[in-house]
Amino acid sequence: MKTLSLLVVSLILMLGMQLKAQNEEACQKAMETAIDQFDQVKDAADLQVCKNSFERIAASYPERWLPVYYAAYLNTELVYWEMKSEQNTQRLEAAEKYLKQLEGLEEADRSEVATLWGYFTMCRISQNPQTLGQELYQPTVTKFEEAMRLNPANPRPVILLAFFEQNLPPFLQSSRNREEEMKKAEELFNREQKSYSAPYWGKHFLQMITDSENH
Amino acid sequence: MMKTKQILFIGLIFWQLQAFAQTREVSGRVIDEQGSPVAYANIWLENSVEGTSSDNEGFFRFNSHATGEGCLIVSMIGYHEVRLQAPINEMHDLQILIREIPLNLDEVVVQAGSFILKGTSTVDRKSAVDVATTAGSEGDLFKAITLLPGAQATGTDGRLLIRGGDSSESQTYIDDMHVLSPYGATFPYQQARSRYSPFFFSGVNFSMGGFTSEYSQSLSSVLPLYTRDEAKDSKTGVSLMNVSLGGGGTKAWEKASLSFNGDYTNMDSYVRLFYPEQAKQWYRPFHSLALQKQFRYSPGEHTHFKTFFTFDRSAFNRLERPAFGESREMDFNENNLYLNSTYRTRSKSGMNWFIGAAFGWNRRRIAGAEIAGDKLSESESELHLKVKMGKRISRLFKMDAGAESFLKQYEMDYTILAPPLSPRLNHHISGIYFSGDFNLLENLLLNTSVRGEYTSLNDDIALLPRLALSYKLNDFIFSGVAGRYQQMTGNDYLIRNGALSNERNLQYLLGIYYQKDEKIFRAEAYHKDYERLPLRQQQLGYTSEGEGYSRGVDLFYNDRMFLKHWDYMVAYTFNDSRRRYLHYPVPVQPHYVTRHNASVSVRYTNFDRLRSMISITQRYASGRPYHDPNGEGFMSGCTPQLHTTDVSWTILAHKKLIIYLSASNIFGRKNIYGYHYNSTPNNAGIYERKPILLEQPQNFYVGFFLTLGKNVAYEATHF
Repeated sequence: MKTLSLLVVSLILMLGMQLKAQNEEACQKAMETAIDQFDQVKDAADLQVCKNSFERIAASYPERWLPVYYAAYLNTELVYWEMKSEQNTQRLEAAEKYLKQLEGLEEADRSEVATLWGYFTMCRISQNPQTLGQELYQPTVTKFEEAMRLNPANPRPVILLAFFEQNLPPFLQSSRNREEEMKKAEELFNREQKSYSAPYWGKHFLQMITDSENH
Repeated sequence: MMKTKQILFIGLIFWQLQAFAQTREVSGRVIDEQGSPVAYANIWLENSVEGTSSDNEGFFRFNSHATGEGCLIVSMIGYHEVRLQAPINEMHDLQILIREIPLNLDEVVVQAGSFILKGTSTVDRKSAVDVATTAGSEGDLFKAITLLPGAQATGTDGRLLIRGGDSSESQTYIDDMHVLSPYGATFPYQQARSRYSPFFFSGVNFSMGGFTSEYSQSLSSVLPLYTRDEAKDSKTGVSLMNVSLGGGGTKAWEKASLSFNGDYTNMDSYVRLFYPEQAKQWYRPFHSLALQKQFRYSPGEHTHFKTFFTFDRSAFNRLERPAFGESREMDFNENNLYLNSTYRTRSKSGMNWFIGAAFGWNRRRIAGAEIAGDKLSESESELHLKVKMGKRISRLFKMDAGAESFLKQYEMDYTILAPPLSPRLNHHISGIYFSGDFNLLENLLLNTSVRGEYTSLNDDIALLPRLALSYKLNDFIFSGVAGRYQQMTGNDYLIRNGALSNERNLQYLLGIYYQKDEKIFRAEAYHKDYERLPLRQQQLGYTSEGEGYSRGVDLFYNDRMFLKHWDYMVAYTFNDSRRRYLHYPVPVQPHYVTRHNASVSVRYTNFDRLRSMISITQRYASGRPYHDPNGEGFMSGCTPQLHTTDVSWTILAHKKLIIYLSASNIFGRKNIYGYHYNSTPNNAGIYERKPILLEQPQNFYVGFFLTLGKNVAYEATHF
């Protein structure tokens, strides 16, 4: 009888561990699929589907920072892709909700979160530059600078700040040398490997800045 | 025994494998209330990553490993989330209806009469920068409002005149608390400015009538101003204008901030430069010192404590030259204080709470106020206490309620008469209101509200109902409002008869609004029936038997991008108004009313090449009626039309420095606001007259605004 009890307890424990491992595995697998899906995005419809994937993972694993991060990022990104969409106010509200959720997650990479806040406020400016430009210029720059301070190896705040400044009137731009900043960002991006456990995006801004300057 | 264990073990493993090996198809279609497919809806099983997105036709399909009962969630931005509890093996070929959230109508919609200058609403978007850089505003909130439809050309005092109402019919609020004295001190025949810079506020709403029952004691308009909830960055700055010098700053902490600002104004050099012929009559130039402070503390996302304090002192001494009669020396001193503290929070149940207290105090001492040798001392104070709450009960209903009390005191001493005139008023006004928003349809909103108000001075209890209906059709909003409003008669009349009834009117408004991309069109018609207005009667003094009406149409069009770098705004207001009140024995068009009012503002913005915003505003108003004692009838005269052309130029010289230049009435037109008639006829039996003009018909401002602080750019305020 004793042996049977031990066997049952062992089985339950095994099952529990197995379920936990499967749970972890399911989350990891879902993230890998979603990140791969993000790499294949061609248009706003693809991006919307991809955003949904991250939102599903974020809903099931609210304690994991990366799905919440991507849900915030893609809600913001969609606004850039569809600048005139009637859903943009709600998309930005959703992005802000996820960003606030990230603030409460201890594991979240603070440099990446600060970068995303900067990207988010930059996006809000793009929706209403005349009214929000003055109000949000300062928080945007502050967030990118905070992100760079927290992790000097993070390429995203470097390139995003360069991009933000490129789109400002010349007299508002800082004394940073854009070429040097771009070179620095490129080096940092080159050191970065595709990852399923950390943010991996933003390199295309290098090309966007170059194209814009050549235009 | 051993065999039994083996069987059990193998059985468990087999059961486990079985459970994970089987998959079930979950499929269906997502549609909206019109039966149209909803693309890109997010569909998943709760507590799992199993799910998918609907395709262009609303169809979805995915396989699930889950067994038993499950919860299928369907979510889509702009729609209410749907949760479907059912056995998972039955979740196939589903037809899922999702309903649009009708947020436009109760959160964003503009209702007849209201005008949102700034804030989150998409109905119209204007920032403090917009206000300051539109020619004709001269950086002043009230002057900017006079460019909107419904506002008439102001008189020589510069106070707002809205839709046929006199200047006492407009009230100003800061963070929902009443402001006793919003206009700064000025000298005779010079237009007053707001005491508060538009840059202090993150939101400016302006309601030209039909406003909610939260506001009372106004028959024409309310101007609710909202200060910022938080300041994220510390900064300091100074400003130098041709009439003033200022400085201040903000110290920001993680959850709190403290802002301070001070301005000293002195008109001496301005008068000597632009109006040298007037310099001799100024014994002591107009000068003022204004201080503002705000402390903000936000311990949570929805919790904000704010306290806003302002004090200003103004004085001048000069020779007053009345149109007829003897000149006299006028010595003017005014102190004004305003302090408000507000606390907002949201409970876990979603109930929004607000508690506020505001104290306003104004004291004026004027020697030579009316005639040589007289002394006038006026002191007025008001304590405003308010509590309100609001909650969305369901997607169909939202309620708001509140209570407030105004404790008011007024003292006046006028010391040339024997015996001296020393009236005192000490009274209170208390009100309670309830308001309900009903989403009758997803694009049809009904608001009903009622306010009960008690005024102690005349021991009157009033019930003031209001009804508003808004309907949204594509990019158009149609709105209608009917409501009863009241206000106490002004102190000037109450000191003569404390039993005067509250002035009342019944307002009807109908409006249509259109907004698409950068274009905004508005048209509104209104009718107001006034009763119980103060009326001077020979034997009885002032009574409340005055009455009248005001009706008209307002049109507005704003295109913010009709050409690259260009935007323009056109406003037209027609008003037909008649009153029997004050000293009008018969119903006539009041002396301050102009039937036709129009303004056109054009602005050119080019920061890339010119670093500039250049604006020009042309304003027109038809003549004002006046009483000509030499002519037939009462108030039968009409002044010439009013025209002004104003320009402004804002240069962002550096991200820390803004240069602002503005000039009003650049062609120096002498606009006539009425006539002073001699009280006695000349030898030929004619009453001689002199036109009423602004003492300084043109204003010129040059300002430099320097803001210091990390990452601070083109800010004209340190607040």
